[in-house]
Amino acid sequence: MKAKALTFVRVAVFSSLLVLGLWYATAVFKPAAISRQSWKGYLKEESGNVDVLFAGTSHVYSAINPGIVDASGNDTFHSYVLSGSGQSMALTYYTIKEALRTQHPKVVALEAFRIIGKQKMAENNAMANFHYMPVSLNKVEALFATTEATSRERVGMSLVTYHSRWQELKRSDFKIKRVETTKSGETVTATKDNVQADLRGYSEVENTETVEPLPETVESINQTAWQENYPWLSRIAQLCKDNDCKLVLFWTPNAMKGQQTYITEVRKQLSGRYPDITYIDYNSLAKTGAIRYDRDFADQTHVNVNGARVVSTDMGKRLAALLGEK
Amino acid sequence: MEFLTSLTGMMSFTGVTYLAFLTLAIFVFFLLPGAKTRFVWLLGISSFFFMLYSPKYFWVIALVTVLAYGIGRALEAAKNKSRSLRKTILIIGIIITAAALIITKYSDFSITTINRIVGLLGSSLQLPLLKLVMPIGISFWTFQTIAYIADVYLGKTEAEKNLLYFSASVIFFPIVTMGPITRVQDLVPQLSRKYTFDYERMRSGLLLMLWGYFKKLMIADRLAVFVGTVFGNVHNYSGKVNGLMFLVAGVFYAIQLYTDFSGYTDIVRGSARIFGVDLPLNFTAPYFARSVAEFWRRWHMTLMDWLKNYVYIPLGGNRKGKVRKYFNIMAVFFVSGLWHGAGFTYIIWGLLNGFYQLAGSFLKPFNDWVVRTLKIDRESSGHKFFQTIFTFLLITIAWMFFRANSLSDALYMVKRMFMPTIWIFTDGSMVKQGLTSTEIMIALLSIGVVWIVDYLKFERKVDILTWLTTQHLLFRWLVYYALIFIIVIFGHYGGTYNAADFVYFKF
Repeated sequence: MKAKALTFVRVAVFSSLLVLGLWYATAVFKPAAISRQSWKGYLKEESGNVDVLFAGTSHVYSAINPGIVDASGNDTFHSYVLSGSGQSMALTYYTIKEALRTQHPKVVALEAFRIIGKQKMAENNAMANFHYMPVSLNKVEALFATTEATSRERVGMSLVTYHSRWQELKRSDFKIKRVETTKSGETVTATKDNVQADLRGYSEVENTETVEPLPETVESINQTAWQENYPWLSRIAQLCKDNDCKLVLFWTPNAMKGQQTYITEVRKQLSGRYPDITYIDYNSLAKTGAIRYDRDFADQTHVNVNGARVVSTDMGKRLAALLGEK
Repeated sequence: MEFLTSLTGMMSFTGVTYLAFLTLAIFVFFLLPGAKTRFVWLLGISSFFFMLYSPKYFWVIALVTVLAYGIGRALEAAKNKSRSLRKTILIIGIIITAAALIITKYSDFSITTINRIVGLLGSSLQLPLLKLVMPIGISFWTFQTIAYIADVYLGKTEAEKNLLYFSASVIFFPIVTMGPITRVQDLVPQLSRKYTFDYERMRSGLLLMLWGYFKKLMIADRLAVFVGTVFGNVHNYSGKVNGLMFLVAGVFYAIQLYTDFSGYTDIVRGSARIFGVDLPLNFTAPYFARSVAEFWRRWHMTLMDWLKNYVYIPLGGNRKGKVRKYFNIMAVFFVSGLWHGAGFTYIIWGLLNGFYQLAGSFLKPFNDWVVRTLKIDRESSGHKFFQTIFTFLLITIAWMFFRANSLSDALYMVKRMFMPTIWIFTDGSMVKQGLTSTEIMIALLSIGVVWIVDYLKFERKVDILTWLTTQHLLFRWLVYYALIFIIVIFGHYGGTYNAADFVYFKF
């Protein structure tokens, strides 16, 4: 009996040390700043602190600056961006679901550009967006919903992907925690996964590109993409309803083809079942001249820091009005 | 079915998914009471495991299993009947058991060959290809079931009465994809008995698995990059006449193949050992062989054992004179080539190995004369070393046919592989084949480790893995952790992270 107990203790100690070692190796090998999903910063927010959660693709983190949004709304609310590059509607659903475990935002603002994308994400995007998401059932479900079977290990376990960085490791990689000064002059303890935490998920894009807007309408929608994504959009709407959050669907200024066709279709499909959804189409700012194609874009689909300022200011005012509604 | 299809592609013996699957399988296995419940669990997870690879073709293995079981029973029932009746049952049994393998593996090869011949005769008639998908591991479990039927016919074993036990021995998850080809009669008693948890066996099983991962991830998968680059761009080297690059790629391929397959075998033997099942050895350091015949006694031993028992001996073996013996050897290696793949490169590879053995017999008097004349001590280390290197080179040349994309590519490479283009080692050519110099260095160091361990085990009878378990706990743990972290960090797996990808994919 004593021998069995000793064996059990040995196995337990060996396994614990192994897990600890693998955890440390994961932290060392995971590169800094690969994700714009500032989960670490989000999880550090005090419970009940986040009033507005922005979600969606890279269009969100490049167009929505929570600092400006809040200030424009007279700091009557506190917002945060949790969006990821090339993020599918399915992953956005699970991101929101996971985010709602620790916060109870009054508004979920979802950028719905991805309604025209694929449910299965490009592996690099999936890796960047997954690797910093907290380990949870939502993460596992999202892994199965949004990635191909052959890439799940690489996407789901960062060490499987990043161990090959052994040839490029630097001393800084071993500093899992470090003190940094943010752009606003504040001193914070930074980790590899809360880069730009002070910006609450916003990512400044400084370059400018003159873009030519393509026709706003197309003859027919891409049925394959629609069939893949609309069910997830619908689930997001239901999730918000179940959690008593107002859902704002918005589209950032975008010079891609056929935007209006999709916006119209989304409104048509959702308005019957979810009449309380607020729709904001920021392409309208381009029509009024508030957003300029020669000044405010970084590329065909993303606004730069100038565009972000315009969008965020408007968003802040609209949210203040929305949250002021009874 | 949709659920299983969504999981297809996730399972790999070198992946985390397999380790998670194995962990779950072990935990539940030992938590379950009684031999029967544990057996049912093993059968269930083995079926699930197969379906993760080939969900749509589970019915094929199920059908082959039931048929082989039925034929075994029929042979048993006809035990006291006429020999011709039993032989008829045997032949029908082998044909229907092998039908799925023949149809899925060889139909398109046969059609392509017929189309070529018809084309050469000037006809424009072309038969369409069937493009059938082979169920995973079909070559292995078909041979296993044929061996069973033949053994029942020969009276070497009694027919298994329990269909479930028989099924479990065919679909047992460690062997269902790539062997080792294990006799049903060896597996059934191990799978059906009450097996209590044995810490020592579990430890040695895990250690064997770890060693398998070392071979596979530190060497095989790393060298595969280099080999793939050279074999995939054969004619790119013609202008520079980088002949020796083909030799290097051939040698690397020989090593890749060994560390890949023997690494896999270690992983599955280790996995099975945890469940109390001992699987047969498949390799005993084959590259230490001093003749081609010896090499084939040490390489993929379960297949060679099968070919010896069910092809060579039934054909008469060496009992019917020299000519017949040579024919039988060529027949064995022809079947071996065909078994490995439906293509002329495989057939040539097989026949070449048979030819080596024939040449060895023919040239034996000349060989003896040279040894006598030069007064060579056959037991001297130098002579042994020369024989080992010479055998390795012969085998490597044969592997070139095995690996090449076409017969013409293989001939092109073999013709040039001994051109003395030694500058490839200094002009940077070596690091342009997909591996950096550090990567090549890691591969070479790892090969050195495997060679030493193999040498000690098979030439000096010192098993390092067993020796390790007798050492002090701290030392053992240090070695275990070192091995695990070396594999985790320096292993070649999981796709290569490229920082540039993320800069580009910023949006």
